[in-house]
Amino acid sequence: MTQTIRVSKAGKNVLTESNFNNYIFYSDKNTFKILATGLLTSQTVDANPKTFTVAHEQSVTPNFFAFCEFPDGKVATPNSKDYTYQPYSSDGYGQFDVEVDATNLYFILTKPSSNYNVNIRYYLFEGSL
Amino acid sequence: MTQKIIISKAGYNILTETNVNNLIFSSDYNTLKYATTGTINVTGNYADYYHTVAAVPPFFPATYWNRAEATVAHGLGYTPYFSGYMEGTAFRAQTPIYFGDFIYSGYHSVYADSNYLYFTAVFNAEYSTGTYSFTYYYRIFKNNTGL
Repeated sequence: MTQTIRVSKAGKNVLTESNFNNYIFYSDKNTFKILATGLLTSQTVDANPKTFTVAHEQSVTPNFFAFCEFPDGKVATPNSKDYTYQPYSSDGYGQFDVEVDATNLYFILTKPSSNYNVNIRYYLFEGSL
Repeated sequence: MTQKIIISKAGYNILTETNVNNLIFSSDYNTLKYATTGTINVTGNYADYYHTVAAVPPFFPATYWNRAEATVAHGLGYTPYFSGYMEGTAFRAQTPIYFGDFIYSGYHSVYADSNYLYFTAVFNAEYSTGTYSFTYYYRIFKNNTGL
């Protein structure tokens, strides 16, 4: 008999529930494990573009995700322009991009006008690209 | 002795397996924890455009640039790990999403702070009257980004 460990959401019966989304944990399914995370604070974007490099110290090119906080306090996901962006406007700070290779994470920000500071949070997940 | 909870994939020994990819669960590693999911519409009036580009006959019509926004209060008190998706005519794509051709373009994105998610649509259109609506989906996790 195959044995599993299941934790259902409140009100759901672990013995009969067939919708996977109603489980908090189900040992038949992998969990997306966070291998490492890091925070870069008060990084100054003083070139266009500006690249901040972080060694990820993984043996493979890892799955990743990241967030960037612009000076207005709004947090953006990779490939985003800042919150104030709109064409034909002089508002805005720049765009946040992320790249990865076997050695490093590269956080790339554009600087259309003045220097600005950002904070960046990144996550490394299991598996490789 | 440090105690752990480990569940390996079938065929792997939890006492000796060192490759995290062969584990279903390991208490050595954090995971993303769901807080909530949802859907929201960003709506507006074409008449509220903020910029217009004049027509260049015979090929280019006048276009009107719009920016609209909707917010969702997440109530966490910190900026969470989040993801956003935008619904197109025949697809759902992770934000940010850019699209365009030689006349029309659009930019759809999702942002967060310690109180809200912000869904923004920036685009141009041929219209200066009527209404528009875009649908977004989001997932919020309880993981604190520390931002």
